[in-house]
Amino acid sequence: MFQFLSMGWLYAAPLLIGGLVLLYFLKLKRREVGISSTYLWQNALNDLRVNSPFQRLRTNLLLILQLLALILIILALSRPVSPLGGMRGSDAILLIDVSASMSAEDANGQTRFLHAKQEALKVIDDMSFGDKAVIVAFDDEAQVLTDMTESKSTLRRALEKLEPTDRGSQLGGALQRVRSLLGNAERAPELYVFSDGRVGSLDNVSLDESVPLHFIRCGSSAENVGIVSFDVHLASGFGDETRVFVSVQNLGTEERTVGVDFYLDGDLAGSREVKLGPEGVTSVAFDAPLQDEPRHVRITLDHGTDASTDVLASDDEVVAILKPPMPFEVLLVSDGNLFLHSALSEDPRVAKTAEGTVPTIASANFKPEFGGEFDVVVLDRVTPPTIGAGNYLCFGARPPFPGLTDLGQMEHTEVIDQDETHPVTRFVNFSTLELPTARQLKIRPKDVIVVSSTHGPLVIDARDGDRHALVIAFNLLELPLEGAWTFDPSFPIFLSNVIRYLSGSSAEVRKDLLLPTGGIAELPYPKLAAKAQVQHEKAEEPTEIKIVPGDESLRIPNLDRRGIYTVTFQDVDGKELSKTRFAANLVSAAESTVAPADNLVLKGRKEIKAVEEAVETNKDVWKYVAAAALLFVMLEWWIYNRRVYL
Amino acid sequence: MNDTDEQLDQTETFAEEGGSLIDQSFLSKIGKLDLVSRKILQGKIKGEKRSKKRGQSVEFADHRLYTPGDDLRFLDWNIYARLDKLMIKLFLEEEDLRVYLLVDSSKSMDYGRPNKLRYALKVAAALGYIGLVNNNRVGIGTFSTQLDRVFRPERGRRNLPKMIKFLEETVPEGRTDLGRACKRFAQEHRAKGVVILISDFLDRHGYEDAVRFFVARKMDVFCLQILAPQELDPPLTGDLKLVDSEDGQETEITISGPLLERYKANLAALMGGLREFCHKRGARYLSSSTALPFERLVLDQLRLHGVLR
Repeated sequence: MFQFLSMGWLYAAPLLIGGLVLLYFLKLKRREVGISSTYLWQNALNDLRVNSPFQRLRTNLLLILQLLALILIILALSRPVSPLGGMRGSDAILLIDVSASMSAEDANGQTRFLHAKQEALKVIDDMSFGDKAVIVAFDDEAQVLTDMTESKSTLRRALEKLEPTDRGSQLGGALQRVRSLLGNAERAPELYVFSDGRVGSLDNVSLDESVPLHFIRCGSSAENVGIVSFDVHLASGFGDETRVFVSVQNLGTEERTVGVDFYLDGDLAGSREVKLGPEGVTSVAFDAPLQDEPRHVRITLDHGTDASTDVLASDDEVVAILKPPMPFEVLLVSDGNLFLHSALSEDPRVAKTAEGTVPTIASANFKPEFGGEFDVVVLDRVTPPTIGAGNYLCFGARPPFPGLTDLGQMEHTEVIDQDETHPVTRFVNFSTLELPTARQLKIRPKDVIVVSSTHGPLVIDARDGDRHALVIAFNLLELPLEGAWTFDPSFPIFLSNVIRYLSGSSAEVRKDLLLPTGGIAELPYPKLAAKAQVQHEKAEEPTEIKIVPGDESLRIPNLDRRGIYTVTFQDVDGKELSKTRFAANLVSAAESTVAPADNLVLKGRKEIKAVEEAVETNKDVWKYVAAAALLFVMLEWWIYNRRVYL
Repeated sequence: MNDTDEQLDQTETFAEEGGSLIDQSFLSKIGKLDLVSRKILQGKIKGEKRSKKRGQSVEFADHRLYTPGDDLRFLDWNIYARLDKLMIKLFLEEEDLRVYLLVDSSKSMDYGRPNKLRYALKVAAALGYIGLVNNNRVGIGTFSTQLDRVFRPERGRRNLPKMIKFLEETVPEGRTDLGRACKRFAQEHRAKGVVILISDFLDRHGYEDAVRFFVARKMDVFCLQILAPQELDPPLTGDLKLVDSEDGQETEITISGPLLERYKANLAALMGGLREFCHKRGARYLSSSTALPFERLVLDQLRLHGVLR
């Protein structure tokens, strides 16, 4: 079926043809020639008319040829194109990759996503009458954008609205989603995958061989250097310093030198230059001191003169909001222990009372529910009959866990081993620990020995249901004063490690600040909050999310775009209660690997070769039509001049 | 100007083609020629021609029985003496030959290059001259729709200027009606003789009546059909409106191969039909293109066809 790019000429065709016929009749004002007698000519004419029924046609042969030539010229001017290939009477499922790598801009200055859209549009334009199609956009999730529809305008609108995301890519999930469409379709549809082929693992994805699958490859270049990992840690156990780590990888084929710039609250705070060979990866760290106010961290890659060869920009920047860690709520239950009291009070991360010391109560005042109220409860030589759910640090006594029993006192014991991999032994040296006495504990199989002595375990990591305890078998007050461990720098470090360990992740730099794109942000919300406005830094309009009373936290799904999100909590009346920010980043080596794949390999199927175009380029046929018109014009001219001999 | 126009421009009107009908040098060439009749023809005076009619002459031909009223001077008394029968002596009678030249002067003759009428008049002048110098009675008629003008039969060289003048005063006019004109001429000229009918024979009414009138009167008929080369092979192309020179009738044609073939076939049929018609009735026929110099027609073709000797 031919298509015409300039329909105007076709609409004008009746006018032009009518004009020609009119001209033909006007042209029949014949030249007068005087002859002796028309007698014989009339007889000849009559004879021909009688003998040849087609004589009239023969008379008008020139008109017919002129009409044919004119029609062909009009057709040529209408720019007829002949689609070669295409859907040709079948339904289609258009799977369009919108993942981060599709934002790569290849040498032609066009993003892969735009190329994919153009190719998909060709398929839509190529639909014959009765053909149906559906558009499915996929990154690491699949989204069906339209019904299976014949409406090209609906499909075009859906395609027009489609935007690329900064998320990963999983074609497998999309194909699973598409299975339902395959089942419902009246005719076996053809699958068109518009992607660069970086679509995650397809090892376990199977698709019946009978389902036609076309892989339209978008993109050409593989050159890219990007940030493939990003993390923030506290620089040490005590200070307010945080350390920001990024891993930079060259995923291209040429050696590259890039600058890694570190911005703190918008100011350049550090820069490194890294040289990376093909597949080379290196880590760069920057220190960022914490403050009471959240700090805005941004790390970008400066490609310098190589900027034009780096095809993907979205992996050249990571951002983070650094908030100071929440103070640890620690309760010391002791009848008097200067070492513990002093050491805990000195820890800057431990919440203090008005007097500037760690909250302390006598052992008699201990209540089991304290475990739930504090991050860590330190039990100094106390074994309460019952303890509630919570984290406990027990010195010189065991927690009341069933099976964990005190076998009595052991004397002159020495440390023989410590688990260097356990978080509490980090930077801690137990070798200076001299122990005249200690409690001998009978542990359960599930308990973890952190430090062991000649007579038995000294430090045990024990759990019982929702109760977690680190048990120290010796009494701090019984340690010898001279060279005592309590005066060693290891002691406060050990305490700090234990409190951070027991407090769990809540004590580390807040993980909700470092979300990957495509992840879900879970944010605590104020009690009166009824809704939240979520605004991406580059979005024009915020998104409103209603808060369901009873939910533990506000869940913000579909973090499609990298960058800073601002969340404003509002009450029922829309009054702002509080505001918080978080960041989402594309840190994915898979997405940063932008080299387009040559084929797709599905389980149990022959590999699907990549093609560049979904529908073969429409072949412009006006030249042939014009040539045919020229032929008719020449034939007409020849006959006009030669017809006397025909 | 295209080919058609150039070709058509080659047709010349009668008025345009001037000059005398016959020149002196040509007259000397044809002076010794004589007209031949295949029939014995009756004349009113004794002439040079030997008539097949038996009569008063020196050359004996035959006898016949006497019938009352016969001239007794021609009784053969020797026969009467021997056979006792009255026999009349018959002699071959020598007579002058009557030559009738009928020239078509209709408008259709005013066509072609060389002009058909001019050509026809030249031929008539030459034949008339031959007739006059051989003491034949030469009568001439020009006709179109009817018999237009008549040159009464005359004999003797002295009438040559008069005859030439008569021919030169001929102008093309009117439509062709061979039958009507010939009938009229035949009525006016009852004496038998050689009738030379010079025309293009392009007559919608047909030529049959014309020939038939003369044949019925025992005339020695010779039809000379004069056609222009432009009629034999029309140099026409394109879409044309043909205008008949006689009646102005218009015919719209688009020249094509088949049409030309059909035209030529019709012309050949006309000529063939006329030839056959003449032969069946003892008449003679000759067609000539004006492209053939008229001297060659007179000196060669007419002799070849036995009209002259």
